[in-house]
Amino acid sequence: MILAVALVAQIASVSALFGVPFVLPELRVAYDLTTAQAGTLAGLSSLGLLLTLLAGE
Amino acid sequence: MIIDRYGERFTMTASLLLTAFFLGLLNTAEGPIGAGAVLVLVGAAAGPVNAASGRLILGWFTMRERGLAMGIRQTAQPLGIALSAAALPIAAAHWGFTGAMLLPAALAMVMAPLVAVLTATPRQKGTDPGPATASRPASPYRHPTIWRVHGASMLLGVPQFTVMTYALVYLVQEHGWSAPAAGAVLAVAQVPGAASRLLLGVWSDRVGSRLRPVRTIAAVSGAALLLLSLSPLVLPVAGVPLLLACVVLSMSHNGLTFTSVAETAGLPWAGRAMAAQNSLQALSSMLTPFMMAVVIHWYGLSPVFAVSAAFCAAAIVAVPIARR
Repeated sequence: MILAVALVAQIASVSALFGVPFVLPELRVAYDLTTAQAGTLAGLSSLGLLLTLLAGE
Repeated sequence: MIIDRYGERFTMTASLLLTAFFLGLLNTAEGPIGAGAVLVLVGAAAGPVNAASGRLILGWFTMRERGLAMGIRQTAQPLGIALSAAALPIAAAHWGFTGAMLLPAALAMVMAPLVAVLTATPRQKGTDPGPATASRPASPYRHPTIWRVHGASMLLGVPQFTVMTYALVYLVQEHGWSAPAAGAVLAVAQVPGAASRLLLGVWSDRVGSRLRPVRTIAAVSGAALLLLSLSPLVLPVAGVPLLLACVVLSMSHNGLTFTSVAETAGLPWAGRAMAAQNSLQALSSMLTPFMMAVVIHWYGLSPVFAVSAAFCAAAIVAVPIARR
């Protein structure tokens, strides 16, 4: 049960962190962006991840 | 630090709740700058779940059970990406970008109370705290080998995150696929992607080297990426199978580079080395879209794969020779 909970919790986390590239066409439409700009926006969750990792060091 | 001070249960619960909250905030974000700021917060909130769930497994499983338990936990990344690829494009077609991102928010909201309740029982099995630090040997970071492994891993992160970021939009934009169809195919591609990590692990055990297979996979990935980049000019019909091959190949190195970092560092330094590896991978995944945005702006979408191939070539050079 612990393993299942850890697994699904991490799936939720991965989906939040890396889900944006799969809605890139709608992200472009939502903010009137180019593909390049939308891709850059998709990478920003990794910046947050990096800040958390560095803060935890 | 938060995990050490407050424990895995608190960290995971708070992390999931904050992730859901920030994903919900996307709805109110003003313009791309507001959305970008919220996405940074989403990443910051979601990050600790990985480390905390890893420690949860360490605490709850005995040494004999831990290998399998960790292996199962490691499948969360391809499963999470597969779930996102399958569900988010369909949700986005109905509810738009911010509506679709409420799906991972909902999953996080469902999981938060489950984590709070089901991981509440005190630890029973995890008795060994890990390697002793009393007589820690000299830092492996005084030698270039571990830096080269980190470097190779970062370089291989560029094609991995390029393919992950632009695969769907490539199928939609360059091949006229619908986003849900592209998402479904990319979700299915996560299965051989996950299997490739396992197979490379078995291969590395057999040849007695973690890094020789990494070098081989970097060469094959680079060749596939280069062909993918050239396919619109030479053979457009080859674009989709090449893209799928690149999806699988580009994610296959992860397990080996992590293992190699831990082995190169040695047991007393393995935790710190893997934390550094996580940070460097996050740096790679953060910088890749910025770099590729410049390529797309000037040259279009397909050339990003050729640039990624150059990073594979650099990784081949960076991988230290004759080390496990």
